[in-house]
Amino acid sequence: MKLLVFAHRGEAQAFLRKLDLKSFEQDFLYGNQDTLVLISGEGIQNTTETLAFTLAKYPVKEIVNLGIAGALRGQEKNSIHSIRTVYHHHEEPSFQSFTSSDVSASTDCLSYYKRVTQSLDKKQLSQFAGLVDRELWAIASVSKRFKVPWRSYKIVSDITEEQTDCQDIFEKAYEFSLKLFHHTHPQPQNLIEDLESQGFWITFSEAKKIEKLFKLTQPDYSSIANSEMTGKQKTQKLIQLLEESVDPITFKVRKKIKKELKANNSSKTHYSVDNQLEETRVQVKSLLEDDRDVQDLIESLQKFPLKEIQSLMDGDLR
Amino acid sequence: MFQNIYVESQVRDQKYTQDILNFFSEVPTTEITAIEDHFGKVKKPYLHKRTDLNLFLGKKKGQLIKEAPQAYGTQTGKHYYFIHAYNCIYECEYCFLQGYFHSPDIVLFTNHDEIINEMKALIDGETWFHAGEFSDSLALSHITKEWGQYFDFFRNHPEAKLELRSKSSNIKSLLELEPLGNVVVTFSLADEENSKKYDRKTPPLRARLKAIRQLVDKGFRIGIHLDPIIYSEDLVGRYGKMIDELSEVLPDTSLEYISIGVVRYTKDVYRQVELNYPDSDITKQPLQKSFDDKVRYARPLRGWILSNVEKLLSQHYSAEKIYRCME
Repeated sequence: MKLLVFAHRGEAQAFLRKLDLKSFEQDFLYGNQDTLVLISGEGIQNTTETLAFTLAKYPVKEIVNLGIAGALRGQEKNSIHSIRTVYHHHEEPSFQSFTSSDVSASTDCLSYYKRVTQSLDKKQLSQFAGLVDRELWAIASVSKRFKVPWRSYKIVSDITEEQTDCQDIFEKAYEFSLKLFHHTHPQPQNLIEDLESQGFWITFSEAKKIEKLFKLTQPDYSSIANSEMTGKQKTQKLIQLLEESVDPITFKVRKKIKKELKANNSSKTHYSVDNQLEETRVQVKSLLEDDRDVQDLIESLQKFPLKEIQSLMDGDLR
Repeated sequence: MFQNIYVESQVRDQKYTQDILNFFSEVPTTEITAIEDHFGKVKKPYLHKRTDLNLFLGKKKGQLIKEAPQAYGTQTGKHYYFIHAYNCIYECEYCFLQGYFHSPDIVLFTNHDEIINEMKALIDGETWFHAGEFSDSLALSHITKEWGQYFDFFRNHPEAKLELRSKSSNIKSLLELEPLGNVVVTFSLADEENSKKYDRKTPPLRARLKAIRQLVDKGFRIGIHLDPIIYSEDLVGRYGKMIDELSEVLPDTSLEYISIGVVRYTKDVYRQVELNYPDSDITKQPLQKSFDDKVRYARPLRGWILSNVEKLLSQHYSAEKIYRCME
């Protein structure tokens, strides 16, 4: 049985989804007959406890740690590294280090007792390793105790001298998770996986839409794939590109209608049209709390460009 | 053309039947009791029509004439379509017939007398009878020669109107008849590129335009169906060219009406199209499920197509003769 260890659930998302792993006895374990996923929690203490529990209970033959790490020596964001040796530092460096079973690995990692936020920390820590995390040393230590080989793949989520925004990392967790998944499962099996490996973050309903649109058109989307946008933004842009390429008229109409509605919406009055654009009705929802709201609604309705919107729905792009 | 002919015993000796059997004298013929015992009894794949097409001859039972759906024809009068045949020798990729019957075999009904009697009973002011709903009304007309009988009827009933719908250029049998003011021969046309691409086995656009010119010269009233229009990036240019060419052979004075409509399918037909023509560009059109459960373009694209084609047509034809079909 292989054990995949992640500090946070966000980092494990793609693996849980792609490998179809279900919750497994404990709230920090997921798995099937072949693979277990341990969400160890952050830091040495949490990791030691949960991993020891898991290794004591399940016949694990190999441990693979996957997760984000900070760059101490200028490694590129989003680059993935297999870890050679892990060190530990808790106010003072620990003597003990551990080496992974990946003989081709060439990057070292240091597990630090807190999040690295100061450039002073970075300078000091970079003497020991190129990457910094908060759990790997515990994983390696417990693994040694249980005589189970381990490997670790880290994706660079941030440069430690930069201001780190945890919210950013949290939002990108799925993107990181996908990259790690594709790195450790390198054969993209279909269009969606291929897109995901290029940084697109695709929900199930978006996947269905994209697959359908790709049957109709195959535009060049490399500029989107190579852009700095988030995975979510990339996917939205890709869908827009595909829709425009397949039906430029309806695409333009949608854009214009959206603009008109936006210009007329207010905090209390909201105009909407049929999503399919089949019905020419416009729906108005308004919150009326006092006479002023009534007056505002009347004024809004009087200037609302109903005819223009209905003409647009009939393809009149003049 | 046909592998076998199956003929109902009860119609075998009719002159109409005999003329057809004589034309196909080399095709093996089998006598049967009733078409419905054989036709569509097993699901015969649509594309077997390419290699294994049979002909059935017999009497149409049940309803011979049906009320046409709304927006089927012009805005005025009552509209009916009559069923004198099933299926078509052509193979248009978008054709609804591929999902309609369980067999592509051709059925020609011989009881035209009964159809005409039903027509007589239905006439009530301006009453239209459309031929060609389930078959092409002219494609085999040089063999079937049924229209003379109908012309005799419509000559005596000027308030009734007959429409013969076709994608054919086969007007040989019509040219033997005297044109009538209440009989309209209508041609389905598409731009040349789409016609070549999707209207398999139909005569080329130029042949249809030539047929229109011949009928106009003889004094026939002509109708045009620009339906189904299939979207392409240069649709305006393509249709502009085709409409210019049409205007050279069809003056406004000979035109009865022009209907325009965009491609649409029921879900079942769409599935058949995907099955029969998986590599065709027609399955790469931006279609979606619409208000009536049919699969069609989004409303803005439909509106854009129709208004642009209307604009092109109005450069040559009276606006009141142009109507939108099934919209």
